[in-house]
Amino acid sequence: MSFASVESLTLRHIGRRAPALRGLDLEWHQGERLLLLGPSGSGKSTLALCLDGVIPHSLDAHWEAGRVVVNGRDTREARISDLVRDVGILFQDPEAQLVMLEVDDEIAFGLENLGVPRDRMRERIAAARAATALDSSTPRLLADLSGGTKQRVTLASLLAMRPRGLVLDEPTATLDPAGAREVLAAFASLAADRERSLLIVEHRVDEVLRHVDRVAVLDGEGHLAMEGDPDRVFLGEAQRLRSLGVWEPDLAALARATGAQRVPRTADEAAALVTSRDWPAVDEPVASARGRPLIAARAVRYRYERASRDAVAGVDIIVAEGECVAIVGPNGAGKSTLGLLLAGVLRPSAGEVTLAARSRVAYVFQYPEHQFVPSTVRADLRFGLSACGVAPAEADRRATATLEQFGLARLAEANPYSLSHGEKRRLSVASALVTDPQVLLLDEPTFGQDRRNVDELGALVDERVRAGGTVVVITHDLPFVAAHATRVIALADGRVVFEGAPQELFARADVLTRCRLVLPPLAEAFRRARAQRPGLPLISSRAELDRALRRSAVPA
Amino acid sequence: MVKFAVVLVLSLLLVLVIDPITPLLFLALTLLAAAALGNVSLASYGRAFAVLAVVGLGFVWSNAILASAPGETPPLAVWGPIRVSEAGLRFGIAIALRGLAIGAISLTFVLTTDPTRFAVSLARNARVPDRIAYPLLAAYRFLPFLTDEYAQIHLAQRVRGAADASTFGGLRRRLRELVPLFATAVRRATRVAVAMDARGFAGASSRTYLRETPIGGGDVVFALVAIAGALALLWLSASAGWLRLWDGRFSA
Repeated sequence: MSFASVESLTLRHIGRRAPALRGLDLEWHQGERLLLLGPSGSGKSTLALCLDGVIPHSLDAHWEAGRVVVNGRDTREARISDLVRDVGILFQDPEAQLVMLEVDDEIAFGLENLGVPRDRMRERIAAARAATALDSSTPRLLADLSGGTKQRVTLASLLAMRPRGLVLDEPTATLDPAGAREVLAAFASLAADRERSLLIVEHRVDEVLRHVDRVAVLDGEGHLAMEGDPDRVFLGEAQRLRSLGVWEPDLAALARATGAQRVPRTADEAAALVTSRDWPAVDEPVASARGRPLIAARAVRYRYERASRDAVAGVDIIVAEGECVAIVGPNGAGKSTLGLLLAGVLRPSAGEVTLAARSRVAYVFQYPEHQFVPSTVRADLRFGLSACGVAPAEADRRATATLEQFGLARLAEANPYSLSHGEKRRLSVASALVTDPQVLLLDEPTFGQDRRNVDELGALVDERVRAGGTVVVITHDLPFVAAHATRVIALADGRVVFEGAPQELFARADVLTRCRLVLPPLAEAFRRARAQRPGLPLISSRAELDRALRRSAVPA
Repeated sequence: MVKFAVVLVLSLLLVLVIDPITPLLFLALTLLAAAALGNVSLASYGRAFAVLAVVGLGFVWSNAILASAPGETPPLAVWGPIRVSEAGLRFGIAIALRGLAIGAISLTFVLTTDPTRFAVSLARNARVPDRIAYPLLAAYRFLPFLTDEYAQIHLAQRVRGAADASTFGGLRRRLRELVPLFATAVRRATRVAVAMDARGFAGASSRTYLRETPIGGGDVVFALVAIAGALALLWLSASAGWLRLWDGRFSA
């Protein structure tokens, strides 16, 4: 039985030429747990907003064709106050959804709008808190909560309204790994209840796969590209998924490598697949000979104005030529501050940072928009060049070459703010690289990016490092670290708690816990398999897996 | 809500007072009451007063040299073309102290009021539309976000090597930084509005409230005591001959 159906929906946002959704047909069955995937800009969020009536009732759009029926009601004809009783929607960023200042008020907000009497509110709030593991130890004020907990409060506030369906639109996209795990645990318990129809948009596919019944994939144009059973989609359509730029589970690659017909849903299942075949030995990580030191930080400390403790509390590190150093750690560990110190943007309160002669560091911030100099893409590239004192004719030449190299040539005269998510990221990296810096420093570069953009960025990092360049990446994204970093520095409370190869970090449970890091799914599978068969290698990324498979394909 | 009304009344009363002593009395009483009953740190007053004091000094200075009617009374001091009159100085000090007193009363309100209760009470007791009262709360959350965001943007733009040394370079840079700030602020505000509507804020017909905000005996007593206190001060000031009320003129 259908809970919601989208029928030949074509919808265009105000001020856009191309439709966000084109003739989309999708069924969401009663009680079904549906995973929705698609590259960025494929219309996933637009679809989510249509399902609970925000479009067209609260946000205007050109509704060009088709209709959406939820729980038997045409969303364009029903009132939004009725539609929100049917479907609740959880957005990406908890900060952009919270209205009140205290947890209980926040959960009550939706109930007040529904006109639930006060004496009934208390019990509904209590039930919603219990469902999202918000117990009495949770601080009362929202401002005191972590991102993951705030997102659970938002989820609780939706659950309290008792909708029959729930849409979760990339609920972990703005969270650190531990926060994401909190929210996914809450999702898992909802999925286990099977009381509601659930639709989740989430690129941590490995983590949600065991809680979903079906997968639907949108393509870049807003069509439904494929849908069906997760094993069929992920094992049978891998090529197409890759060409669409859609995240697929890492464990699907493991399933293919071992000839399994099913994508493992749990770490133990994955570990069993690992032990089911032989793996070529992987060279133990050796401390590779490092090039000339470019940046040296000695006993560096930094304290922000009016802060009670040092954000960076005595750090000694060296960044050398030809390496990709990843800086990892929990939120508030001082990663970005250390990055700003290394780049010379902040001056240390104590200690010193020295930069090798004739070296420059280009810093790419987490949010590309923050760094744009308004006007055009070309002007943005030229801005950095003229700031470095490059002559205008030469600047023109280099800007044009870089536009070509980054596939931005056709956007040269566009306003940077009008670019898509991925294009903005590309422009911010291009603007940093156009001046040919010795060190490229990237702050959370994969945050909120789709697979194609992340793969592109990874290739760029690899290429620079191979060519002898240096990259420093501040990130929560351990799969990215596993695939591209040559060295990892883990921070906690402003201090270095680990320094070494990514594989060494993955073997250190204590550091992972302290830094609130979660092992990438492949690394977790191999770690568990090694506990049974100690001789196995610790493979932690898709790239390593592919290398291992190539090596074992060659007869010894 | 009652508290807000009292603050409004007291501030209006003070606006009409143009002598320097009466505001000083109000200031003393407010601080005394806040310290005794409000459980607030005087340090927070100190910080706010530092700002108000600078503004206040500006008033003193401008009134002292501008508000003097030539030939009326001999000036207190003459530095070249600058004549400082006694009346002007008195008026300036009165305005400055009045600012401090109103500031102290308002700050006491801010420091001792739970913003959620205030917003709900505005909606329920003062019948301010929900469409205005609730966005007030969202805006309250917004301010720290904007400050953080601006700090980030400032750093990000500095990294771009935007060292423009010309006279207007600094100003141009600041203006440039406002563009991304504005862009993120607008986007964020839109998202919050959409999220509120998605939780039924739009089209809510018979809204209920989790918080009870009855106006009780305590509120009445508070209002009476506060107003009585204010009147007592005015009476004290009047009987001592200090009090002067505004008579419609803009100079002494």
